[in-house]
Amino acid sequence: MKIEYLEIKNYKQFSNLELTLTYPIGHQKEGKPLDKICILGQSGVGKTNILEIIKKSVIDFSKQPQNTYLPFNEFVGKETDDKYIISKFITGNGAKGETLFTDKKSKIILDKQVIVEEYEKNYFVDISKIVINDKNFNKNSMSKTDSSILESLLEHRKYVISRGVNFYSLEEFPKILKKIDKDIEKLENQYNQIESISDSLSELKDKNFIDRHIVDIHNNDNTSWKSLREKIESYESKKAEYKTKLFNKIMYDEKYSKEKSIEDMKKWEKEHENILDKIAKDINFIIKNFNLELQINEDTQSYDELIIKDLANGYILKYDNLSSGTKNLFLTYLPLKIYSPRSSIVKIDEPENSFYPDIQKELTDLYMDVGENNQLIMATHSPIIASSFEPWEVVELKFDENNQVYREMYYDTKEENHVDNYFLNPQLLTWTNILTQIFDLKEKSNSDVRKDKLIEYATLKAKIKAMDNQEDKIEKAKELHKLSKLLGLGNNETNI
Amino acid sequence: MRRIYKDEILSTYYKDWVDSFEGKHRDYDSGNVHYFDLKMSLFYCQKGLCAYTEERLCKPSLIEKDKWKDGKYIKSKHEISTRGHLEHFDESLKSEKGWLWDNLFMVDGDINNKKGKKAVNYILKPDSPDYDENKYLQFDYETDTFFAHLDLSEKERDEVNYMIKVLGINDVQRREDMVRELRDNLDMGIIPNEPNEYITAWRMTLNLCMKRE
Repeated sequence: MKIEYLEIKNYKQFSNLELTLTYPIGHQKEGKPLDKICILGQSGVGKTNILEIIKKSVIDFSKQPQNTYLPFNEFVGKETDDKYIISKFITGNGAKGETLFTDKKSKIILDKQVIVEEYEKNYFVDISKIVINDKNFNKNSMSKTDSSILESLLEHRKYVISRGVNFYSLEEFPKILKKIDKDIEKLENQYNQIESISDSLSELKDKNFIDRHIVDIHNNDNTSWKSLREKIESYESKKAEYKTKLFNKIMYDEKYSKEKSIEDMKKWEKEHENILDKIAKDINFIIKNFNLELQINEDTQSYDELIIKDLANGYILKYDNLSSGTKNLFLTYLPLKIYSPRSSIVKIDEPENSFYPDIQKELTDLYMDVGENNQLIMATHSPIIASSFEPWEVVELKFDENNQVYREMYYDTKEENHVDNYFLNPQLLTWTNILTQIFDLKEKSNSDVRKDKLIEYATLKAKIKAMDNQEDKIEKAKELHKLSKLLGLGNNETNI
Repeated sequence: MRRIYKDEILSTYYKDWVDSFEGKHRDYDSGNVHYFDLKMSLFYCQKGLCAYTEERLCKPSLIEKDKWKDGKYIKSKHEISTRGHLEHFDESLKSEKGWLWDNLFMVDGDINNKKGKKAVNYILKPDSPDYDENKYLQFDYETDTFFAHLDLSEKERDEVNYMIKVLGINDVQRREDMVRELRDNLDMGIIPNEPNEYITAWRMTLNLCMKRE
């Protein structure tokens, strides 16, 4: 399932929004639905709503009757005909479909009989934000004495703050406050609960792998780990079956040598993906940045059985002791990889959460590589994520002067939608340029200090240019080069 | 920031209205009936550019004189699209003299928001009779930075550099691209046409590059 067109009329903040989600003329995949889509825009412009609308527009054709499916009721237009949502899509087996939803009716048209394969039902995968709290402070579990100590410490803190620097000296005040804070932290730490694996998993169950219409592996009392086991078993049994076949061939076919059978076995292994190897290989490519390596074997049945090696010292780490960012990666990527969706729309809201820029850079490729023939839709605030997308794959939403949401186009709309007519391409821009040209930051830095220094730099350069004495010039140029380095200007900008 | 000549006020209705005030002005209000014509009148003097950054805010075709009849702009604000805010150069005059022609400019919205109520020094006021961009400003095309002219006294340079920041003269993005394009063209031996925005930066870059040759 891939969405290729969406039109929203008078629904929530969208009075009239039309999104063409196909590759432009002149592209290798001209006219086909986009493989990946990046939704950008200021908070409140409706990124998450677009994701929800796409999710709800894509219905399960295996369920009948379809015309009773009425997922939208927050229309705002006056005339009935002015309130609708139209979506066009292509299913995994190539059938074209179109849906029309108003608040009172739905119409679903398919160009041919759709044979719903088992995997076809799983056409929407939602990787929601997972916020991991490493520690949960539980006040209720405190002893009475500790509880009253904590209370008096907090009271004392308030008291110290209220007296402030008017009472204490400027030096004394922060020291006193720091000591109280330290005592509070020490006390609380005794009662901090480390997040348990079951907490993580239940959160995963709740938030990932949506929802009743669509993929729901949990309703069948299934978990990603169970799914992994099934995949491993299936792989192992197919492998054993093929081995037996080769063994029989050696026994009964004189011309068939042992060497040939080893060669055939290798060929089979190459053609059949071993999910364990694949997971470890893909995830290790990323977590080597954290100096970690995952070793996963067929006995692994939960996160706490994962073997994670600290490459710095060779120690084996427990899942619980991983950082939030690493856990987040495991919790989003592992189940997705295990589940391995096919012909699905994979929706990820703010994939950049908790990830350092170097990891963000890899995320799009990582998620594109799970499953088969999927359409990846991400909503993001990250320029680094945006840099992985071709210009026609970016849906940038903005408010116009009448406060209406529109899509900013990266080609001159007076011309045709042709690859050659695009004037903005996030893949060709530097991070700074993405921030200023795509994310519309007006300034190159956030600091008046930089502006002062730039003026100082330009003034000094002009002064050096006006100097006659070569030695004086060289001496002053040292100062200029130092400034240039501080300002992060390239060598080309210190040319005097 | 170019010198702006504001001698001609095309909105005669606005002019008569303001001239009729004795002492304190009527309260400044963007819903006022003269507001739109005042904006278009300023755009005419500013050639459709932001008064401080010279970024284009209004199409040239919209500011031609034939768009005016009997002291009124012939179209309504709903019929045309322009950008920018009406800005009070000296905010301290806003409460008493909110409609004072000499204190008003059309500027980019972000520049206006950032300038806020900061105190101004009249040394860098684009319509001041003494103002001349070539006397007060120099441009470093490699860092896309305007700075106070070296021929000024140190005190004047401090004042000018302060005003460059207050007016956001260096706070524009696209100017850098325009300057780079100009330098590329000159490198390749192409004689470029003058652009329709950021003209001061363009002219100063051209002069500097020509001198270097």
